[in-house]
Amino acid sequence: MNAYFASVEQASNPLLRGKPIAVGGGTGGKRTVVAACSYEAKARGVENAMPAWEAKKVCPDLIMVGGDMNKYIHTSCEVMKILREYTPLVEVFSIDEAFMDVTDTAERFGGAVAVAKEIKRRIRERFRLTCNIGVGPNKLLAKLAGELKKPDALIILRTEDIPDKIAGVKVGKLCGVGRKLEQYLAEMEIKTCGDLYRAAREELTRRFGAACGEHLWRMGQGKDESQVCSGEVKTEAKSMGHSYTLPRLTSSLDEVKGYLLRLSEQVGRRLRLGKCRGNVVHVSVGFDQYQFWGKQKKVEDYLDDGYDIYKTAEKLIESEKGTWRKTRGFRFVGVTVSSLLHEVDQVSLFADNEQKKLLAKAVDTLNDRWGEATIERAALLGFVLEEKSGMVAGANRRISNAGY
Amino acid sequence: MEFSCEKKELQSGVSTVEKIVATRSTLPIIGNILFELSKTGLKLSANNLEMGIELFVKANVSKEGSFLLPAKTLSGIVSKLPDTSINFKVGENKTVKISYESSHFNLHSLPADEFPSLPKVKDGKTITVDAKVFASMIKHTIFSVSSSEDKYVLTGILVEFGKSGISGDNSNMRLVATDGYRLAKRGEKVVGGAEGVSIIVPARAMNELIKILDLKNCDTVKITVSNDQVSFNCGDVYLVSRVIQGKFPDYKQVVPKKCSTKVKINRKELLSAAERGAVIASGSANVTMFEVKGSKLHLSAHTPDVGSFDEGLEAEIEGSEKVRVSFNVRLISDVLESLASENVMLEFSEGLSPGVIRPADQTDYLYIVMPIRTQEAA
Repeated sequence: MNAYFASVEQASNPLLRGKPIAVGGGTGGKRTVVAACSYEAKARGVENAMPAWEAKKVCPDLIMVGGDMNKYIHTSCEVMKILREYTPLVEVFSIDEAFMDVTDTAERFGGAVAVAKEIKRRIRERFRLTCNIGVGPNKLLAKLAGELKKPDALIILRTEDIPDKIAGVKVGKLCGVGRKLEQYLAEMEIKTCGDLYRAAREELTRRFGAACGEHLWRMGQGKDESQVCSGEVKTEAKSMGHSYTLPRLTSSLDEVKGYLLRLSEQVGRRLRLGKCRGNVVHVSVGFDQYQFWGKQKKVEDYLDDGYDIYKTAEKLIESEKGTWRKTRGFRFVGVTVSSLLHEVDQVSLFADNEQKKLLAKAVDTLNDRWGEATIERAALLGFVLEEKSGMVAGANRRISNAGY
Repeated sequence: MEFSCEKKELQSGVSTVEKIVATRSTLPIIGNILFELSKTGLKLSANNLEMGIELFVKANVSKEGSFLLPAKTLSGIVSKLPDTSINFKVGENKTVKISYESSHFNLHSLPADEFPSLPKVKDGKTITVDAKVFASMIKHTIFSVSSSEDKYVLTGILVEFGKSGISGDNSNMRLVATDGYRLAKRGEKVVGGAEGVSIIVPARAMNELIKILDLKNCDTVKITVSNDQVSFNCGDVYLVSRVIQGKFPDYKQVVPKKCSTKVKINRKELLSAAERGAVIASGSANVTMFEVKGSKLHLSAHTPDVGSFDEGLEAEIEGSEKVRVSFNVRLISDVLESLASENVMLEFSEGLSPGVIRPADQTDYLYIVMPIRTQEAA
């Protein structure tokens, strides 16, 4: 989908159509970032992930709109339902992306390209939204085709188009090549898909190891055997975390720690809900000028208690804050627990630990019944997370299951 | 100041004291080894302010005195020296000339007077125990200590004198270690004793002590205990450490009073099976199911996307013949590895009660391990 959040907002509010708009967190206040912006805003220099104040500077008549996750999730579910009319093999890739395997069903609708055209038309007519569709022999090429030109494009990549048609495309456009990998490849003078096509298999495996190197080489050849997985893919969470951009810059580390405790408690709550625990805690702090610091620590015990997570994160901050450069203030804090164990709980020898688990369980039960924060630490009272919109996490599951 | 000694003697001494040296400290002087030359020989010392060590090295001292040499450089040199007689001589500008055969090193030394002296444990109670017995007591417990600084009191071994009060326990000296999930307790009957004394010795000191006891081959070790320090004398080695302040959890509370099933089983066979199971279980937090079925003890584990494991072992079963409990298999193999007995006794109960492991022929050892609550067990 093109500029998905912003397009949904424009589609649902005629006053926003044709205008530069940006969707941000909460009520779209100053401290938020641009989660998505309309093509009108893009043309004026606004970019995704740009801080709202900066976006306002480059485009003074930009309209900031508070994000409404429920609306986006609902629209996404409806779009996915349309896709499933053409094949049961629909893999929801994100809130606004999906793979379809129409190998066995396309004939009925006049071929893959006809299916693509019809889907584009139906989405435009029903939702006033545009989308990109890439058609290819596998997921890799279809996804790449969908990225080649935006917005509202339909591009077909055939096996025989490799490498000529994409020779000049940057490797970073390939699904699975991130910023770091792109950088490593650039060091080997591999900058475009054409370069990757010509790269020697041995050289790639030598540099990136047998598995990853081989995978890259196959990508270069336009090969991809991965299947379109329909329905909910049962992958267990690998990590859980929360972060928060403070409503204003603060020079008080104690204030940052207050929010850290709040976030840690949220992570703990989610870990317990998901019946998992983790023994690696990562904490990050953002300063003014968009500088970041982050560090992680492996601990002996598997944690799911907010305060334990906080203590580990706080210790990391205390031991490392001496290395921070002088800053005018803090603007961001985040905490993540990873290396998760699912459905496993090592019972403690001594009663105090087991009592702590029972206490957390009792608090969870109360909050489940009467709503979040019915009972919480007194220390958290001064630290309310303002302007925080709904979470995108979890949306995928709702979208994947829609239409069944 | 001058002395000469054999490389082997020197290396053995340097490598022992070097382990105590703090390499990354804000106090650079404790990164050195103290050399003290007297008529009685050469004394090497190191002190990292948490613990300290001194020992004697056989040497011909021709001129007395003392100096400091940087531990890292010195041990690097000593380990590379040829197997011959080595001569140390402090020259002008405090440069130490280390000569051997027809070659030499020149090392800068520091004056010894700023080196923090090793504390002597004063007004302490003293007890002498058999060195081999003490070493085995440490080995039977040390693997259970916690490595987490968050559980500071559990990073040491509790050394306790006097009666434990647990029925059937006749020991008057005990070592206890726990990380909160398992607990190892080894008792011994000693002569004399320091009735009522109970201290927590950092695992690091105990670790160094086992190495020294193994290396020095001495008969006895003299333990001197005060409120905040403990020292160990064995042969010509003196090791001193601060003790961990804090309250060790009441281990007597967690000793299970009854169990539903007793399993007598060959230790080595069980250890091998546990290690095989760990190959699969390592993918899922080492969770391994221990299940009594008829006359066999079954170990099983499975990790999604990896595979599963099941092994049945012949055993003598007493009590209920239907018990299933999940444990972290590493906690089980740790203890089996440390023991030496032919057979071990496992005591289980259904549910989330602790499991107990002890050598079949020894009553003074006890290992308690807590089970894992899995989806199935919950």
